[in-house]
Amino acid sequence: MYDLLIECCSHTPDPFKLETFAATITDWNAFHESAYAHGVYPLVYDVLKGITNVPENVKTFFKKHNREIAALNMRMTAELLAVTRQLGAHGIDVFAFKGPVLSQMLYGGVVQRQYADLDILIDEHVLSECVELLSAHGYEYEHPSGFLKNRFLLRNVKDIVITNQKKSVHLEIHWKLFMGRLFQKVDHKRLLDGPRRVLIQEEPIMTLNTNVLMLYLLSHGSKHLWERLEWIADIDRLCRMEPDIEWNRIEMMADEMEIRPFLFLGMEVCRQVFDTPFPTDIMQKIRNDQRIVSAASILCDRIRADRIHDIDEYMENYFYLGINASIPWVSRVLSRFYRPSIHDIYTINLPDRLWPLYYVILTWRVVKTQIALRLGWMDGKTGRKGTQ
Amino acid sequence: MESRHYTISSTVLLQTVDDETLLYDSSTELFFGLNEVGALLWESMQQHQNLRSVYEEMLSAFDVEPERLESDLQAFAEALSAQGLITFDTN
Repeated sequence: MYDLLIECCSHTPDPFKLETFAATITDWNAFHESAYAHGVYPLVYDVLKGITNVPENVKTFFKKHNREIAALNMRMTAELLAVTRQLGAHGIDVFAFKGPVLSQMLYGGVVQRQYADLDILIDEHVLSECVELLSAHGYEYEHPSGFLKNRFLLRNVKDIVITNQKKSVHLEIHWKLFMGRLFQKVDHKRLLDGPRRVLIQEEPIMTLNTNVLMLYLLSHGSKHLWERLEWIADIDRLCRMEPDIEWNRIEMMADEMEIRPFLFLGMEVCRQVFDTPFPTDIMQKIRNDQRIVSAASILCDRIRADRIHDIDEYMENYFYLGINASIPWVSRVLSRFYRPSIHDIYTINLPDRLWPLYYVILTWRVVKTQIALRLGWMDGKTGRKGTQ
Repeated sequence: MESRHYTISSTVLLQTVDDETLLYDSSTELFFGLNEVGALLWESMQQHQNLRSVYEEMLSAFDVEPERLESDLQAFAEALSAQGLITFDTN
């Protein structure tokens, strides 16, 4: 089944392979669910409709669902345009990325990718103002907008989600694209140099320059262990479409933020799945790092065996900690387990000058939880208190 | 054909899905499907903002009776206006 899925998403699907793989499918419902779960439904449908060995009723079924996805995408795109116009009218620069913008860039339209939310990047200093402006547009955030001026929050978190319940749209507002190590300062303003403009309905939408976008897509996918084929297909297509990608610059940015392993992992996964043509000098560096090659092979095997969602928290931590060998172990553990969440910051709510106490409180919480688990006072799976 | 100016609503989005052209108006949250001819007319209307210019473009591009084209184009534009997708200029 995954052979057909991957072939449909490849840059130049092979007709013979498509017919051969399609002839082996016995459960088209399962194929439909996989295509949807992997976010590649429009891509798959576009190829599927030309395959003789796909039954007509299956093509009809896919057509209906593809149209529903397209309708959702158009609603979300219209919402993105409305949001960027509203914020732009108040002098707020908005970088839109992923979602409709990436679809337009890669496929010339907003209906060829699947997306469940919208992503925008703004300056952290206008975050609170943005949320207030968008609240008049029907968006809600779980905490008061004043909380969004909390400097500790702005340093340690990189995005929030606000929701328009009436339109069923989730808008992810980012003020950072990358989180460095704990306590590491990352120069985000430089990442916004040389923005690109993508035309959606003849309206220019500002977005990330191609180098930063490529780095973001590769690190984002690695962070989530490449659980969606869509992410791999996006990178493959972007790489093939954009001959002027400055890979040395991308590598440099990755080194500054100490995310080179994520960059390399993503590149190796794309190479193994789609034979994406990355620069040979970088691929040689990747081949010399057995840790990266092995990690990529494990992930690709899981994709092909439909076991990508079997990865549990233990394995996720193993991947995250294991491939970042260049970073000191203590730093890796702290960054992975000690970064305060929005919930932590909201409930603890210290003045900014007392920020070190967050880590004291978090340490106490971890110790308290471990004691409670070992004494049977708490259920390890649910976190609920037991009878004692 | 008279020269009628119009403005396409900024809340309208157009995309081609499969063999169909869809219009979505975010102000009413309604979808409209255009057939092949409708899609061509819409594309021309986006370029010109004036019915006479659209008429002249279609007349030169296709083998069609002028009276039939004028009648169909007027009907199409009125239908779009009735749904709020375009607004005719009053002056």
